[in-house]
Amino acid sequence: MALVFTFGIAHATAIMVGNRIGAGEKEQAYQYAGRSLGFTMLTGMFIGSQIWLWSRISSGFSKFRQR
Amino acid sequence: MIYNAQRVLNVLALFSFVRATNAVIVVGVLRSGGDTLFSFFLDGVVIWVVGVPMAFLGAFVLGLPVYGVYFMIMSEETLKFVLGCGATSPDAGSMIWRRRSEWLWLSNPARAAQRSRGWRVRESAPASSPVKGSDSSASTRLLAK
Repeated sequence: MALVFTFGIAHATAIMVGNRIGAGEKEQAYQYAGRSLGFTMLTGMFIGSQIWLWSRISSGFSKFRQR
Repeated sequence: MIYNAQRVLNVLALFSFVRATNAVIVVGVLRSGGDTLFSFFLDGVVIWVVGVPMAFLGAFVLGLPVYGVYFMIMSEETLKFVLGCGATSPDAGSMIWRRRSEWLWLSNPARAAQRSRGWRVRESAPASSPVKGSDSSASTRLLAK
């Protein structure tokens, strides 16, 4: 569920790239795709760090041992 | 139990950017760009050829715990990430496949479907000619007329 935001970015990218390809401007479509990929990588790293952080916080920073 | 949940969340946090980038590559770039065959390959073939055997191997042969099995499923996502980056960018594709890959996904899917059915296709000027900068954009063509 944490990755729903990136799915939104993916569908927005589909609309933008499809629009540019339909207009015949392939260079700009390639630019849009590259920008969106970089933005999504940064967003994914941020979401990953937040998952890690809040899993630690919600468990009260306790070390669980395997029984 | 909570130990396993903590470890699974750690693996998910480690691979979240890979999954996010996969979503954008498959859904955003390849499907809208018309490279449906490679999109099918990434979503359908790689899961059954790599993901399911890796999960089987981790669970029943190696006997890993649940976060280990999740890690092996994520290896399939990593393969999709590498192949998808190669298919998306010609420069990255030249690093992976040792040759400059074609811009397969930069095609007009509607025109390609018409052409494959043998319909008469109205070729627009920028789609048939190679793109040179911004002088062949639609706005400048309209202005030139």
